[in-house]
Amino acid sequence: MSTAAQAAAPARSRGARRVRWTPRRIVLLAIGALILLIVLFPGLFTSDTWNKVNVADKFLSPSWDHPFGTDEAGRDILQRMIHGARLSIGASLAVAFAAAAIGTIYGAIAGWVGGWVDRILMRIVDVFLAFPYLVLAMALAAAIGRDMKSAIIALIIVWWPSYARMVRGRVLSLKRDLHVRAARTLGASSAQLLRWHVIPHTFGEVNARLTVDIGYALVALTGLSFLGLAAQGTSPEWGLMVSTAKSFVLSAWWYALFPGVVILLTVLYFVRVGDELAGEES
Amino acid sequence: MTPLLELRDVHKTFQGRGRTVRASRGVSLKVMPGEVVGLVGESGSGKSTVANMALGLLAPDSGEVLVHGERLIGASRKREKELRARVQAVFQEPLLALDSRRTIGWSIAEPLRIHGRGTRAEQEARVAELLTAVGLDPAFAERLPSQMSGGQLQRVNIARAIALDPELLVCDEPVSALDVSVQAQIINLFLEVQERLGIGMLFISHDLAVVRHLVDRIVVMYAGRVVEEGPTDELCANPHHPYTRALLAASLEPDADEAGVGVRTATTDATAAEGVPQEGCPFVPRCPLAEPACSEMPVVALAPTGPGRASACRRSGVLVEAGASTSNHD
Amino acid sequence: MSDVLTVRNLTVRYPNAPRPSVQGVSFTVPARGSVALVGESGSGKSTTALAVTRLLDPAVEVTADEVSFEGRDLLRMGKKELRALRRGGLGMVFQDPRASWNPARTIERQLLDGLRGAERAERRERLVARMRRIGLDDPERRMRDYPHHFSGGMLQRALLAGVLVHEPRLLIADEPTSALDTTVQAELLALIGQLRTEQGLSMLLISHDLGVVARMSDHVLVLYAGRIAEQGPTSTVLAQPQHPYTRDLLAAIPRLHGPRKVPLQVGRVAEARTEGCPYAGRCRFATDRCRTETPAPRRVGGTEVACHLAPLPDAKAA
Repeated sequence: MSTAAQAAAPARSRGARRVRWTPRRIVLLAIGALILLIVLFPGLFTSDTWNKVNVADKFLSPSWDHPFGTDEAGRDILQRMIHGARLSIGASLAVAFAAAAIGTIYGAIAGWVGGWVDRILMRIVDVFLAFPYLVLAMALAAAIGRDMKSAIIALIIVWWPSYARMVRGRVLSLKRDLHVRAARTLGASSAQLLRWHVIPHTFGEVNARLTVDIGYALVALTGLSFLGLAAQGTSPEWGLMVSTAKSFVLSAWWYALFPGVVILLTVLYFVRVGDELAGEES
Repeated sequence: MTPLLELRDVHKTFQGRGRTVRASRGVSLKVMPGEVVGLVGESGSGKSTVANMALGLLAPDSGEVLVHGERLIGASRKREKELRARVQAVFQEPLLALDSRRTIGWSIAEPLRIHGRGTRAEQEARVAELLTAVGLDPAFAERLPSQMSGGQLQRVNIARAIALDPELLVCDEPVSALDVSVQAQIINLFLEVQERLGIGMLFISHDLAVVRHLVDRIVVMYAGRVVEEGPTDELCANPHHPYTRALLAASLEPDADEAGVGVRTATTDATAAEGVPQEGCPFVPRCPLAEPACSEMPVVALAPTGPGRASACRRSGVLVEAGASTSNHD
Repeated sequence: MSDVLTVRNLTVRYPNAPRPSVQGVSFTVPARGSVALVGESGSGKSTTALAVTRLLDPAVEVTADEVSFEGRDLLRMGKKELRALRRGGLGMVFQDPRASWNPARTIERQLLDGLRGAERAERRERLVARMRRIGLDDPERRMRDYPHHFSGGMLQRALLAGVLVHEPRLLIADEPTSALDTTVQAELLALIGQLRTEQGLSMLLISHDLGVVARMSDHVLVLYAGRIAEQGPTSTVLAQPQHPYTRDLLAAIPRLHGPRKVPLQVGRVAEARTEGCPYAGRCRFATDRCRTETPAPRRVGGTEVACHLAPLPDAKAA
């Protein structure tokens, strides 16, 4: 573009890496900051007695003192959820990031090396992707062990292949890009090319999907807890709370409702953020 | 003296979906130290394939591609790196040749980083020096490629290419994507850089007029073969191959008289799948001098037609004579 | 013989742009005449053509005192009438042959789109005849091929055939040969020239290439930053350019003969100014007046120039 044309071009196309802050994005960012705080410092928002059994207060309906009501042991549901956030959301984050990291490296190697290596690696991915993911997750979670740690591992195993495929596709196309070939003529080694010029260009796409996946992982995780395959006992994990609540649906309607709604809203939040990122990417 | 770059009887064929493209059919050329050679040809001529092979981005099917007498592909990792430091490239698309996520300064310093030349501070200083040398404000080092114009970016690419003080620059259509006035500036920059650093250059373009400003010797390609070679001024004044003559005639200049079209108006050109005959000279369908013998195998090889001149044409004699008589006229 | 196309004081403004892409452009294309719009990227030449044919996004502001084709107002024409015009009186050819064709459909389907029965058969026959004329061998069979079987040059010829079969009175060609090789370009231009004479076609040519313009047009408009720098008969403008930009442009063209170093007059390319003369930033003759007062076009010698300082000393280009 001649400089004259550049002057006429809208400001958006210059400094393409600067983010445009719309009101929507600011709100999303604020919510994200809040979530982060809750996950890291639940104690800030709750009293010290959040987990104390207090049978006298059992099944209190929602009120000013207990916005979400109390459960069968008299514990405040809202406060339990705040502590549970670190488990539920924390675990979802772990699943999403780990799957993305593993998938990226795997896919980058397959795409870059190509040939029979690529074919074998992708066959393996195909095998994983052939299974309906929830069925596989449940089977693995049950097999590995019925606790949070095993559930997380099970989900990571189920999740990484789709990243591998996505990154492999991107790398195949990046391999042919002029800036990568140009860097090769400069003398860069394959490792250098991958590290500096190829993998960084996969981040945008990966991040967009990653964020959405945090939401989906949350659904999967709470689902597994609900089935008794993840969180156990008195853990304040959200899915487990919903599971426990199902026995009391008619008498203590708030018990099942609020955790369910919060799960839904959290998932929607992450999906929304993912959409924004995907929008920026394109 | 060892040539900086040498291609010896190089062949390369590409297989596409159902199509076979013979991009190089026995190409040989040489660039000596300090020499500036122009490679001219249109789409389908195979000139970009030559560029890619010269840069070691593509391996030939047969024949040799030698940099300083050595093969780039297949060399040890260490040797390959050393050789690459001596042969650098400038590509056609200024924006696409740079990593969009990196600043200009980062990209120019990249060759220095890869080859471990100097400390961070020294590299930064060198980047500033290089930016100034190509006519840009050193402050541009902080900018991203998307914030600069095509002409400016091509200067950046040149700066990056000379960062290691290479001996050979392979330039693949470096000004084709630029506006006329910007193109002129970059041509002059290339001239300046070549004069100052005395580097050898292989300058590839479809535009004879552009190439002519920069090179000592021109190599003309058609349908994967070298069809003519010669010193710039002589070749432009007296072409020895019908295709070269057509190229010269087709060059439209604003103050020339109505440009004569030197080719038979044909329905085919070098890119048409059916256009290039399998046997005989590929130029036959468009050649005004073609005779039946031209369609027979074997294709005439490049043969000398004068001091420093060569042509792959059965009928080059006609053109040599025509050229001789015009010069006798003056 | 009246004018086929009349444009008076055309201005085009994109939303949020610092300056209009086209400003105050006026020209006419006479019957059987050929006019060229010349300029580099950002000059507004393509935008002018797109504005005249109403191909710009509706959000873009297009104003003019007059834009008429054979006396009919183009800017206020209804959609239906406009479409009929695009299939009838006005023919258009664009730059990238591969972009003009849908790669998933055969040439035949694309050229005969929307026609049925007798009408389709008749059109097909005329197309085949025209393609043969235009130099496409075995058009009957080749029409059923897909675009990727054709080379760039042949696609442009096919497009031309498709356009000319409608017998337009005005052909608008936007960089019709820029994507093609030099030899193919020369052939295609010769062909267009021939067809023009045969059909008495008028032409509006848009190009950045002064060589193409010299060959193809009688009258030329040199555009810079959306304004006309100079306009007049092609031979006069190229032989005795009055505007500094025209001179610089001519000087910058790489030549087969002459000095090795391209004789550039200016060191830096500066941005087009929004105040005063847009070329003042780059012009070696610029005065204070040039920087503040926008020059109006006026007659100097055989051409119309928008420059305060014309006629300039040493009126030769070389």
